[in-house]
Amino acid sequence: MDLFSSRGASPMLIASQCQAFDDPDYIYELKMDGFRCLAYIEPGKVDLRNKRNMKMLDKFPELGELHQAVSATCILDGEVVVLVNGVPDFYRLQKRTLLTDRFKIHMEASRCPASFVAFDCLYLDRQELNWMPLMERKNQLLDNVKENSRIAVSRFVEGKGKAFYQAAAARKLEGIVAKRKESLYYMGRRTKDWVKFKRMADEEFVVAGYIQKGRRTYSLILAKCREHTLVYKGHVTSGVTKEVIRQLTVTGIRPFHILPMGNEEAVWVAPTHVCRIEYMPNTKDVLRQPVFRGFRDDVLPREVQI
Amino acid sequence: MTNADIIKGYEYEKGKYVVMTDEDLEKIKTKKDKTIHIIQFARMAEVNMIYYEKDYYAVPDTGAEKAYELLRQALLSQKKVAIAKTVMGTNEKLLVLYPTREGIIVKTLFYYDEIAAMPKTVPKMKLDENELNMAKMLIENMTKPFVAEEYQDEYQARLREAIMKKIQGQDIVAVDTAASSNVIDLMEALKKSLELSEKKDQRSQKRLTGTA
Repeated sequence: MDLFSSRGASPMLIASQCQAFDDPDYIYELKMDGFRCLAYIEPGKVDLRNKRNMKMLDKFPELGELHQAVSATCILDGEVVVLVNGVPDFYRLQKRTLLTDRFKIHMEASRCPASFVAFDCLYLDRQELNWMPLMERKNQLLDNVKENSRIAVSRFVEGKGKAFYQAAAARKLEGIVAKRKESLYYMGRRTKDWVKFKRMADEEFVVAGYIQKGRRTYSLILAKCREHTLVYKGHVTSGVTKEVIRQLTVTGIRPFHILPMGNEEAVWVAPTHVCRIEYMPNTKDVLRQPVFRGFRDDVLPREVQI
Repeated sequence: MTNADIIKGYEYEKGKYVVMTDEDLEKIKTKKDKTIHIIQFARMAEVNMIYYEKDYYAVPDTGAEKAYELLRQALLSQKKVAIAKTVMGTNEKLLVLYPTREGIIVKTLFYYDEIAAMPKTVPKMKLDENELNMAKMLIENMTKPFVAEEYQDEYQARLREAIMKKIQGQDIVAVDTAASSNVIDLMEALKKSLELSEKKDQRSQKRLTGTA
C-alpha cells in the first residue's frame, strides 16, 4: 500500500523558538494559530487527519469540498484555521473540536467556517514528494491548488525574516516559520530546517489538579511526564474558567512525590487532559505571565515529556 | 456549606437514608481498569436485542493495531462476537464486541437483572387463516431493504432550519464588516505591508545618497 491509501504520512515537525534572522536560503511564512492537519485529497473525496491521524472532517464539514479546488490526488500539509475579526482564533477553533452534536457543528460551520491553509505537498499523483526540495514542492502546490474561500496556499517571503516577523508581531499574530529552501520533508521529525519564531512562547502541560482561589477564580496545577511519572511544573490562573474545571475528573489521588508549598488546597484530577499554556518568552525555565489557552485533544498526556 | 459537609447516602425508604462513608465505598470500589476483558465468545444472534444499550467504536492504540486486526478477522471468519467486561467511570459494564468490515464495534449491554419483565401476558388469540394470509401478503408487499439514510426526523429538520434562519438574521446585524474573514486577505496584507516598508526604506536611502 502506498502513502496515500495507507494514510501513513505524518507531518514534519517544526523546531522551536529562536531569534528571527535574515537568510537568503530561507523562506518565511506565517505561523497560523490553528490545528495542523494533513489533507488526503482525491477526486470527489477528502480525508482530513490531525497529528494523531484521527479523522477530523466530521468536525469540519465545510472542508469536505476541498477536492474541488485541487486537480490531482495528493496529500497536502497545512493548518486548519478559523478567523475571527480577520485573524486566526484558536479558542473558536478549539470550541468546534469539542462539539459532538452534528447540528451544532453545522451551525458553527456556517457561522464561523474554517479554512485550510496549505503550505506543503508531500504526495502527488502516486508519487511521494518528500525527497524533493521545498521550493519544488511549493511549485507543485501552487500548480495544483486553486484557492477559494475554504482553501488557501500559504504566502511566503524570501530572505527577510526579521521584517516579516515584525509585521506579524505588530498584528499580534502567532509568529512565523523559517524554512530552508532546500529542505526535504522528513515525516514526523523535527529538524533545524524548519524553525519557528513566536511572539509568545507556548508549551503543553498535563493538568494534574486545581486550586479554587476565589468564587470564580481557579488555578490549574501543571505537570509534565518524565518517562511514566508526573513532575510538578507550576500553576496557571489566567484564562482558567469554571467551564475548564468542569471538564476535569476528580480522583483525589496526589500524583506527585515531591510538591512545593502552596498546594495544600489542591484537588487532584485524573491526568487525562493536556492543555496549552502561553507565556512571555524568557531565558529562565519559568512560566512568566502564563495564560491557559485551551485543552488539546491531539496530544496524549504521555507525549508531554520534560 | 463546603464539599466536606456533603455525605453520600441511599434513600431506602421515603425520608430514610443509610449513610455510605468513603471507607465503605473504598472497600467495594471497582478497580480502575482501562482494558477490555474478553470472557467468552458467542454468536451475535444469541445476544437478545433487548440487552443492547449504546454503541461505541473501538479503535486500537498505537502498537495494538495487529492484535486488533487479528481479533477482528478471526471473529468475522467465525461469525462470532466477544462478550467482555470493562470499567467505565465507576461502573463495571458488560459488552459485546462485534466485527464489521471497517473495525470493531462495542455495544454496552444491560445486565439481566436490569431488564423489566413484560408487564402483562398477552393472550394468544385463535386466528382465522384467511386473515393471517391477508396480513402476510400485506407484509410481503411492503417489504424492501432497510436503508437508514432514507429516514429523517422531519420535525427536527424543520426546527433546525428555522433556528438557522434566525441566527443568520442576527449574524447579519452583528457582523463586523471591517475585518475580512478570509485568510488569503490576511496573508496578502502582511506581504504588502512588508513590500511597502521596503520601498520606504529604499526611498529614504535614495534621499540620503541624494543629499550627500
